[in-house]
Amino acid sequence: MKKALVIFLLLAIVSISAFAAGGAEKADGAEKFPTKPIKLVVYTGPGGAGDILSRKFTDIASKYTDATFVVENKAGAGGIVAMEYVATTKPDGYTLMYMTKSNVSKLVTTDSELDPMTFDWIAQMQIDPECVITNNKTGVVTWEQVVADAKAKGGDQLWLGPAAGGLDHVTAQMIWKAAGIEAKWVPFASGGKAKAALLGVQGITYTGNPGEIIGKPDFSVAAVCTAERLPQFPDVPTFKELGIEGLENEVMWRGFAVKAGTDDSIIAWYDDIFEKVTNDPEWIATYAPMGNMLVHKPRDEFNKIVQADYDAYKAAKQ
Amino acid sequence: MEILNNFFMGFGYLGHIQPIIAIVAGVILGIMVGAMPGLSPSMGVALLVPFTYNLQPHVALILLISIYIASEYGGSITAVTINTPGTPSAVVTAFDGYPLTKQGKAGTGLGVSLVASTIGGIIGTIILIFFSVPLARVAVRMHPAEYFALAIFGLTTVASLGGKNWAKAFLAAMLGLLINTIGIDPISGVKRFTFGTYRLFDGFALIPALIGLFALSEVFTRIEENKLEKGAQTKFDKEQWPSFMDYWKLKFAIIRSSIFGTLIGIFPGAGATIAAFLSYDIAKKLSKSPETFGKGNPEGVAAAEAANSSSVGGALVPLLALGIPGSASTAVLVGALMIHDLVPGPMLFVERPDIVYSLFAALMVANFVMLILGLMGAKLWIKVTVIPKKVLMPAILAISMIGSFAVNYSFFDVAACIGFGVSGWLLKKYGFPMAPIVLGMVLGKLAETNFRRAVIMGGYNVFFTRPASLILLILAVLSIGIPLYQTYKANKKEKNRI
Amino acid sequence: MELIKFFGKGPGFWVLLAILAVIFLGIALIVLKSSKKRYAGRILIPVFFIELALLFGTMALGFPHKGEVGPGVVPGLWIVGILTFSLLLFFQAISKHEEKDPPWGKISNVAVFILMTILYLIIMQFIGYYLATIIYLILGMYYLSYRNWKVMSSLTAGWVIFSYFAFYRLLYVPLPRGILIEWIFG
Repeated sequence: MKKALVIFLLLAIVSISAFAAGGAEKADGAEKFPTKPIKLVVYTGPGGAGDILSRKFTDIASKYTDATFVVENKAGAGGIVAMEYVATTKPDGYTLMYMTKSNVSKLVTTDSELDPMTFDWIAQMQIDPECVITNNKTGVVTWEQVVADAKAKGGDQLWLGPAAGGLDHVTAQMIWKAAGIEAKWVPFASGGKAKAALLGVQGITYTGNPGEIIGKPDFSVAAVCTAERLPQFPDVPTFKELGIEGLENEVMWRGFAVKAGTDDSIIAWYDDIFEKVTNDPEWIATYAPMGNMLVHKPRDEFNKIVQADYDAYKAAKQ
Repeated sequence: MEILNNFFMGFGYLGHIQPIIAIVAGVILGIMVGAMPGLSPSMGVALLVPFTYNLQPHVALILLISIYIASEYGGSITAVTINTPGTPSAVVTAFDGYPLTKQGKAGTGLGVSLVASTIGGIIGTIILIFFSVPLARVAVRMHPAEYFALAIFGLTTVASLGGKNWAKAFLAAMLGLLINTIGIDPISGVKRFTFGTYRLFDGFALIPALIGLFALSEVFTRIEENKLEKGAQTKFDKEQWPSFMDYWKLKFAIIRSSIFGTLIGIFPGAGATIAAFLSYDIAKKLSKSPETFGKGNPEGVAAAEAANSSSVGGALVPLLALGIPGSASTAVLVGALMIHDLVPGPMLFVERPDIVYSLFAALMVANFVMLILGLMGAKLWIKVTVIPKKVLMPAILAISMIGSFAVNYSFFDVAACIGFGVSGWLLKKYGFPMAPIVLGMVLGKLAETNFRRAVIMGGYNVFFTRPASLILLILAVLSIGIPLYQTYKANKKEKNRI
Repeated sequence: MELIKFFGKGPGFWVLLAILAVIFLGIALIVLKSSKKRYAGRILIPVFFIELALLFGTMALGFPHKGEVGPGVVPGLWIVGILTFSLLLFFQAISKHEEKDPPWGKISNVAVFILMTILYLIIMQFIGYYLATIIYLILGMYYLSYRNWKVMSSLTAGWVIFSYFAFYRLLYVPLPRGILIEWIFG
């Protein structure tokens, strides 16, 4: 009985000291910004594309700073769960969130009450152009062939991609409108499943990003939504070259945000890290071959982009 | 022959100390993850991805793959010993595994599940090594109509699961299916039954529901019965471990379920749970004494475990041959590959055969390591059955709470888990089976989205004009009709006798 | 149709919920007073599911029609299934084709445990996962009249240490640290 009590007390002390260790760290003065680990909130589960990018980022950032980053996955509702979570945190800079353009579109499509400006969008890091991918085995490979096939099928051509209402679907609708064709959107649970269906010749095209054809010799990119050809894909024409206007800047972007109201000095500290990561050879070696444009657009510019995207989605909804 | 050469080269790579440590550590972690209610195989793999970040790519993948394969087995341990499936697919293992424990034969349940898992894993790996390319080509040709038909076929196992209580079993399945429609509709983006809260945008997570329906409802039932004097197993003797002959009797069930499990595992999105349910159903239908299923027939344990372990090999087929994940766990493996700048897909065989073949070799070795560790461990986990229930019940509750929290780090999930637990306890009392609810929650999205997708792509006729889909639908009708007819006949006989 | 839309959303939904609750209580009272008293559970469970199906059905009818197969079609199918099987069970129960209600055991024990678990989750927010778990496990076993303190303390200690290393350190699960603890220690 006595022994048990001793063990119990010991245990209580151990568990309290576990907290105390965390607490002591915090008490150590507040003069320089990261005095404790920074939480990087990711809206996908571990192993998702966003998770990998975030972990790559923290890995590279640790070359340039002693600060510790802890990735925390808050998956659910296409990012709404994570955004709601970050919105409740203090604007102390210790919670960073990985964001993409689809978070902005989710806010609109789910009628969320969250204002995108609840967050300070501090760095846009990657821009990924949208494109139309085809299967070499279908005989409909180039954009001209896609158009001819669409006209022949009179609205029954199948376009495969992720869920309806998402970025890829919206882009596909814009392409149909600009090119004057009609087609059907077949939504899959994920981009991966849609690509599998394209491999199995269940549809004609897949709407996504050029990087998605890497390692898959059956796929070709028919046309890409940029103003100029991508250096990584010199043979892929842009829609502009093909005579279709208004599709020069349909992109997916990725970046980071903190809670609005975070101190300028903290954001300056982050700016420095983002700049260094953007120019890091490992970062470039990983993402440049995928056709992603690596940029570092700081907060003023980025906040404007987000507001414009949000307004555009709102307008499109009405 | 080139395959064999490469394969031996892969084994050669395993001659180093690091990969061996990775396999052993992976198997131990995997068994733990599987046995822990709340940590599913995909979560186990996912949660360990950050940990593998700084390892060499070979070692990292070997570690993850070992966790994956071992966790499919680990789920059976708690299913057999305390009727709490650690993984969704182990729900089926519990059908016969737990009755065995209640009869004092926990050793039989544990032994059979281990051996069946090992053989299933090996057969799955062999099929993966030799047939991955042609099988993957078939898998991507699976039209949504066929996925729908497969899901319906899977649902029909409810008819034989329910037995006499078939109406309750069907009602339970329908509930699971309806619960699965809660959330944002994946096809149209419309919010369904979300009651205005963003926490329901993805619906109820499967794992907390599973824990609630099985673990919590079991705890509540035991506490209510208030017979908590002893452990689950009252008799405890050495004779309970199966002999070689006992295993030999199960050879057909194991081999059949392994091949079947691998094939189901190949189709992206179908997975271990459907494989286990269908294999169990087939074993029951082919058996000479189907009435012993659900009452502690080792064949039921063997069929379920062989199927869910072999589905691992199947799930790796589309991943390696096409770069497309076939299950939640392999989706995480894609991520792990990409962290190491490896792009999964057919080019991986050409560019990095060393990675691919050391992975194959590791899969083989991991199965044997699992067998050895499992045999050693079985003596340990059988002790769970003699833990006094007064200690075990609060412990299961505590494990369930942390397990359902770990899924999404959300207390909403924990609350949902308690809700499912209370409902499960009440429903079980009135003779409603829990497994059909889980089956409905697993198959609901698969059935619905593929149904609607198929109609978008080819109209309503497509289900009957595609031969594969038609055959599966006919099988489904037979699979539902035969058991119902048998029940009807049995009832009639009984009446005549009176 | 307009009526269904009214009940499917907003205040109308709560009105519908209230009506269904009153009907359920009414049926429960009738059954408990009648000769079918010993079948009460077997009758009330299907009644509950029929009402649930009606509630969800009303909501599903309000879903917008989009695309070839609208978002309400498949849930509607499952709802019809629930209605069918619930009605079947209901008629089985009132025609006494079913067995009588199973006897109730120690319901109070279950209630205490459910309450304790909910309190555990609430207290965890204040004093953190580890302390709350120690209290919860010890109290739980004590309530079930287990008195072997050696087993109780070693199991509790083992579990807390295991969850710290396995969940917190290895798997990075952010277990609640507790508002009070954080406030006291910094």
